[in-house]
Order: sequence, then C-alpha cells, then structure tokens
Amino acid sequence: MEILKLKHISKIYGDKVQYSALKDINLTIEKGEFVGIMGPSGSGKTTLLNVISTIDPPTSGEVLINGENPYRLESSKLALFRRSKLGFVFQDFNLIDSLTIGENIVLPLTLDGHRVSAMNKKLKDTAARLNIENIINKRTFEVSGGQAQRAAIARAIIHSPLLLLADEPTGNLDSKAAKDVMELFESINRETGVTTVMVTHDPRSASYCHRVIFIKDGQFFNEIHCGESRQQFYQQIMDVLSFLGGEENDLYPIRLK
Amino acid sequence: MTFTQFALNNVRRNTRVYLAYFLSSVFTIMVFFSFAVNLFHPVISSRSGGAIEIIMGQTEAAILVFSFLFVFISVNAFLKVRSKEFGILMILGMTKKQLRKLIFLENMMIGYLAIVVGITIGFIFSKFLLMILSNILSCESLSFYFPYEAIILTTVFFTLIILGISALTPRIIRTSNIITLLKGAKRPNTEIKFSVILSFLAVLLLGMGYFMAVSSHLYGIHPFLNEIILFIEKLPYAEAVLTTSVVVGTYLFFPQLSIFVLHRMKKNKRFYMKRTNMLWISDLIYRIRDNARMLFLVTILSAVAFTAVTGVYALSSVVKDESLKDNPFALTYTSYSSNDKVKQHIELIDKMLESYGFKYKKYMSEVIKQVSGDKRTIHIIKMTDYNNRVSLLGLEQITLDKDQALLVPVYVRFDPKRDRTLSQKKVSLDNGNINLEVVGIAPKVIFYSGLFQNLVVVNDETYDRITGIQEKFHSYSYDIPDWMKTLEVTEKLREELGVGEHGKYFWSTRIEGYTLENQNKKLFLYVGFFLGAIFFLGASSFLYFRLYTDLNQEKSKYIGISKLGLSFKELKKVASIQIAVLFFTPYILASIHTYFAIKVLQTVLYSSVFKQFLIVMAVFLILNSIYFATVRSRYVNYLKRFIV
Ligand SMILES: Nc1ncnc2c1ncn2[C@@H]1O[C@H](COP(=O)(O)OP(=O)(O)O)[C@@H](O)[C@H]1O
Ligand SMILES: [Mg+2]
Repeated sequence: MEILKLKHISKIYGDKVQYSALKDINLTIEKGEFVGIMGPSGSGKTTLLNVISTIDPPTSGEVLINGENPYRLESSKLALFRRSKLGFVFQDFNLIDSLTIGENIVLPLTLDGHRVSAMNKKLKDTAARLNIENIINKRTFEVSGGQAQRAAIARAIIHSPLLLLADEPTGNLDSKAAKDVMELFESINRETGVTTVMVTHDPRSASYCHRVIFIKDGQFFNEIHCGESRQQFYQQIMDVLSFLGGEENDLYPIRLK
Repeated sequence: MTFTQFALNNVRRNTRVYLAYFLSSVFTIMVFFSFAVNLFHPVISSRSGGAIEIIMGQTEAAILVFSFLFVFISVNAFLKVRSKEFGILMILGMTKKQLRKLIFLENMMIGYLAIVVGITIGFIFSKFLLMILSNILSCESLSFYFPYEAIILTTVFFTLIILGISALTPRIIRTSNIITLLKGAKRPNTEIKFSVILSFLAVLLLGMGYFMAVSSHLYGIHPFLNEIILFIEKLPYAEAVLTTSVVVGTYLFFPQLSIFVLHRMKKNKRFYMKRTNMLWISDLIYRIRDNARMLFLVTILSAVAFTAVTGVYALSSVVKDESLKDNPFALTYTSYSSNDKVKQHIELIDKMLESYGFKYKKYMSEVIKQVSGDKRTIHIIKMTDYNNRVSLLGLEQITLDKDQALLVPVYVRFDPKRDRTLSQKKVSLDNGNINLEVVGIAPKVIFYSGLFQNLVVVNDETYDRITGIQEKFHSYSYDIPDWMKTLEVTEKLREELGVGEHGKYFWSTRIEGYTLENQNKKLFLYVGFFLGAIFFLGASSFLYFRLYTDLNQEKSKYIGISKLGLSFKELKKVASIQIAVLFFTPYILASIHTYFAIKVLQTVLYSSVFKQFLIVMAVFLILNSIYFATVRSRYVNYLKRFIV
C-alpha cells in the first residue's frame, strides 16, 4: 500500500531572483518502509522533507499521503491531519522548554484532547519503549542531547502516526548517541511498522534504512536498496556519495583528517 | 496534561520571558486604577458636569488608549520572541483556534494576576494621589473609600483589552508560515525600499501641520498669506486636521523620510566611505526600518508628554499674570441706570473692605450704550473718566479733539489688524450726527476682559452732546493692593449682593477668577505631570524593550565585525551612534512637535511661555541623556563580554 506519493514536485524560491530548489521529483513509499534521503549540502533535502511535512507547499506537482493531498485541506483540517497522521523529529530536537520531558511527549495527545488517564498510559508505554522513564519529570535543559532526541522521538510516535519524518535526527549527536537513536528508529519501524522518511548526510545513519534516495541540485540522482547486510549497504552508500563528489568536505569531515 | 494545564505550565515555568510583559501590565493597571479611584471619588463625582470631571474623565480616556497601546506592544514583543515555540506547536498539529485559545488562556492568567497585583499596589498609590488631589481642590481631605466602581472599571477594561489582543494574535503570529516561525524571530535583510513621493508627503504633512499651528501668528505679513490663513481658520475641524497631518507625517517620517536622508548620505561616497560611517549608516537603515513603528509611537508619546508638561507648567506659571491682565481692577461693580440701590451697595462694599482692613482706591466711570441704525452696539466713555481710570494702569493720559475718538479693546488678547471693531477708521454716533476720526487704540483692557464691547473714548464735550442713549452704566472699579487676601471678604459680599440682578447691577472680582483658574490649572498641572510622567516612562520602556530583544541578533553581528579587525573602541562608537540616533531622533522630532503645539496654546494665553518650553525641554533632555548613557553603557558592556 502506498503511504506517500510525490508526483512531479518542483519548488521555486524567491520572486525576483528565483531559485529552483526542487526539480520534478517523483517518489513512492510503501507502508512500513524506512527510507533515507541523502545528498550534498544545499541539494534540497530539507526542502523536500518540508514539502512532505505539509509545511512548505510545492510550486507544482502533487503530494499524496495515504492517498490524500494535504495541501488541499483547509487550515484546521490540515492541523488535524498533522496531529493524527504525522510525527516529526528535528535536528535540534525542538522540545518546548517550559514543559517537562513527559509533558513534551504527551503534547500531541493534549492537542488532540485525550483523557488524562489515557495519556498517562501511553506516556508510560512509549517512555518504556524508548528507555527514558527516568527522565520524564526532568526539564529539557537537564537532559543530554541523546535523551532529548529520544524524548522528541517519543513525542513523534506517541499518537501512532502513519508517517514519521526526521530531518538530520543525528546531526547534533555524538556517534554513540547517534547509534542509539538510529537503533531506536530501526526497532520502532520494525515493531510498529510506521513508515519512516529520514534526511541525513551521515552514511552510518543512512545504513539503517531499507532504501536510500540520493538527490543532487534538487534533482533525483540515484536510489539504492539494502540487501543482505548493513555493512555492505554502508559501502554502497559510500560509493554513491563519492560518485556524487564535490562535497566531500561537507560529507565526511572526520575521514578527511 | 490537559490543554489548560499546558497553558498554566507555560506561564508558571517561563517567568523570565513573561516577567517584562507581566510588569508592564501591572504598571499600566496600577496607573489606570489609581486614576479611576480619583475619578470615582464621591467628592469629585458629586461635582459632575464641571470642568474637573471633564478633565479627569478625558485623562482617564487618554490613559486607557495608552494602556491598550502599551499592553499591545508588550504582547507583540513577547509573542515574537516565542515564534519558534509556536512553530513547533503548529507542526505538532495545533489548530489556529487552539493557538488563539492558548494565548487567550495565558493572557487571562497573566492578565488577572496583573489586575490583582496592579489594583493592590494601586490602592496604596491612589491614597497618595487622593492626598495631592484634595490639596489641589482645597477641599477637606478626600477620605479613602472603597473604590468598587474603579475596580469594576479596571477589570472590565483590561478584560476587554485581553480579549482584543487574543483576537489580534493571528495577525501577529503568521501561522501559515511554519518554516519562518521555526527559524525564530529573525528578520530578512531584504533590500530596503523607500518612496520619494512618500518622503515628500512626510515633509508636506509636517510642514502643513506646523504652518497651521503658527498660522495665526503670521497674519498680516502678506495679503496672499492672509487669505490662506483665513481659509485655514474657517476649515471645519481645523484641530483634527492639524493633529492628523502631524501624526501621519510622523508616521511616514521614519520608514520614508529618514531612510531617504540616510540613502543620500550613502550616495555621498566621500562621507560614506570614511572610517566607520559606512558601518553605522548601512546598519541604521535596517534598524530604523525594523523599528519604524516603535519609533513613531515613541515620538508621539514623547510629544504628548512634553506638551502636557510644558502646557500645564506654562499655564500654572502665568495664572497670576493672566488674571491680573484679565482683571486690571480687583473688584468692579457695574450698575444700570434703573438700579436704585447703587449707593447702598457701594457703601456696603466700602464698609466691608474697611472692616477687613483693606486699603483701596475707587474709580467711577460713566459709560453710554448706543445701538446704531444697523443694530451695532457701541459703548462710549468720556476722556476724563478714561484718563482717571488709566492713571492706575500705567497708561498715558490722552487728549482728544471734539472730532476724535480712541478705541479700547474688550479682550486682553486683541489683534488690531484683524479685529473688526478695532480696525474701524471712523466712528459715527447718533445715526451720523456725530462723526469722529479714530486716532488710536488703547493698549489694554480698562474694565475687565469681556465688559463693554466696542468701547470708544471721546472728548467730554462730544460726550455731553450724545442724545442716543440706550443705557447709561456706572462702573465702580476698586484697586486693592492686597487683593490676594480678598477671598473671604468677597464671599461675605456675595452673601449680601449675590451675583447681581438682571438689568440692575452685576459685579466681579479678580480673586474669584484667580481662585477658580488657579484650581483648574493646578488640576491641569496634576493631570499633565501625571500623563507626562507615564507617557514618557512608557516611551522609554518601549525603546528599552526593543534594544534588549534585538541584543542577541546584534551580538552575533558585532562579533562578526570584530573578527574582521574592528577595534573595540571603534565598535563602541558604532554602537553608540546607533543607540543615540534611536534615542534622540524621537526626542528632537517630539520637541519640534511640542514647540508648535505650544504655539497653538499661545494663541489663548497673554504671556509668552517660550521660557517655560525651554525649561521643560531641557529637563527632558537631561532625563533622556541619563537614560541613554545608562542603556549605552550596559549595552557596550554586554558586547564587551563576547568580543576579545
Ligand atoms: N526559504 C528559502 N528561500 C530561498 N531559498 C531557499 C529557502 N530555503 C532553502 N533555500 C535554498 O534551497 C536550496 C536547498 O536548501 P535545503 O533544502 O535547505 O538544502 P539541504 O539539502 O542542505 O537541506 C539551498 O540552495 C537554499 O539556499
Ligand atoms: Mg538541511
């Protein structure tokens, strides 16, 4: 079953000086898939994810999520759509500082007007799954980056969304925390079957995906699928990236040492 | 966590962000409430319909408008700071309605807490205000009462303000653009546009407003100019037109005219490229554009504050002067010919004055009232009576021939060129039987302001020849050197004589006019200083809020510049010039506005108030400079921490 379908998506920024950030992107993602989007810096990854996230309308083309075009919905319907169908994880966590970790996690349910008892139950289950029960009463500035990102993931999945979207979720984390977070994404995808789309420029993170799509200068460049082993997939990703070229500095800062 | 708990948590745990907003709300509510306590005081409201009620009521209305603006601007700043948070909420699927509800709930919580705190502090503050007020109105001290009306008024108005602001939030937070919200309150540094036409319009409107304000002082310079001035004066709602053109001119000044001027500076390459000029000019253009609305408000608020304070200070310092000019004599009793009690009354007055131990001198004049064929009233006094009377006023003694006449102004402020009666060249009496040539105009009022319209002095013989006599008045004027102490005796005399009797006699005193004026003007003074203080405080805190919200952005910019090799000293200079422009442009513009507003006031005053204007402006300049110095040094010190 198709969860996400992009048809001929283009995005042009600016009125006087126009910049074409996305050019004729077509993409279909099936239910339960875990898809990575990669590409050099400035290639349009975030733009593409924002278009999928229903927060940046494409200049032309159509976005279908679960067969429905969210940009056709009026604003309150669109809000309900985001609230029930989508979950978001950001590079800088985007937790709300005035709330505790637990309160941040239940926020989607609060907005949806759930009963407090139901909320608490879901909070308990989700926190247990992400192994963050011990921090739910802490404030956002009292936890580490890895914990904050896990809380953000909890917030993104507590309402069992159809589509989980993440923009560089490991970009602000050290390699140990990044590994934990990616393993979480992988296990959540496997256990709940939530369709996941993740932007990253870290090949190690990307290797957790089933499929990686490469874009360059706003255009589709290549796509590779994970075969038998992750190690092999990682190597394949590296090969495509070196093929993409030009931006190695940006892509592997550590390896250049 | 329910939605309401969510709002509560926001308020409870975000004190640092909310504090500035909360404190400014408390301040406005306190001011509003304390003034309402004055307004609704039983003693004051029992004097309903009078000048006091009107002045106090209008002041409260002005405070209300100010409160709305002040709270609105604080909310605006406060919401802008939180745009990222709202962006997160929107992406999590919050509807616009929920956002409005959230802000409404938060505002309600903060607002009601602010109302409770504001009213509590206001209770104490209003007691102090009541003390001042009872002193002004010289009534038995205004007792403290339970101000339930003031509490209701304050609560209702501020609830309305909160509701109004919640209704306006969708305009402040552009929910449609989540990406921009998520990026925070950063402004795009797009090319700045300005229009030559609008800049020109700003000059034109300001010029027009200023010209209207001084027009009456310019009359008589040129006949064409006179036509324009007369046209302006006949305009309906001339005051509203004047105010509007100055306000709109000011509104255009910042985003248009000032940018236009800076662009000119930029074009002047020799100046622009010199040392740090380039830095502050190019940056200032952005700053002014981003702060145009705030600068406009600060200018208008300052202008109101300066004008209120100058106005009341000027009025109060000339009040004695004015009543002396209005009433050259301490007491004047005027009798119609049919009054048979005149002798009795004058004896009573004399006796009373003596019994109180006052020294006085009495001047009696006879005045004929004649109504000509074309229904024009003319009053005539003979030369001897005039000379007798003016000997006290320090005017020259005059000698008139049989066919000569001297005109006497009826109001203190007269304009010989424009006053119809004073500009006559010939006077004709008894339906043309007596024709006189006008030889001059007396420089002062000789009875009191408003008495005897179209008064003419004639030779005694001519006076005796007059036959057309509508009425013959006898006016007794008393000069009492100690007039300031005559309030008590006047009150006693009022008991006996009342205000007068229609068609028989009437009388007036300088002390009563003085007392009333003095009380009104003290009330003005109180209200004016009060308004001046809160408006000036408000204007200053707008600037302060703004500078501090900008600080973070500025910081990274300055750090960037310093890395390019600018010394800290140079950096300090750039920052100082910018802050100075933000502080002093509104001050200068507001003081020019005030100067012209005072010119309007001058048309109803007899004495010049320019000196008072200068004093008030100097005081505000000092306050503003102190404020500037404090903010600048804090700002520079803050930057210093980040720049090596
Ligand atoms: N709001 C915008 N206005 C104009 N240009 C934009 C905007 N957002 C992104 N761009 C441009 O589009 C291109 C793609 O940006 P982005 O999607 O953020 O790249 P990345 O792949 O690094 O996430 C970049 O060149 C960027 O400058
Ligand atoms: Mg990106």
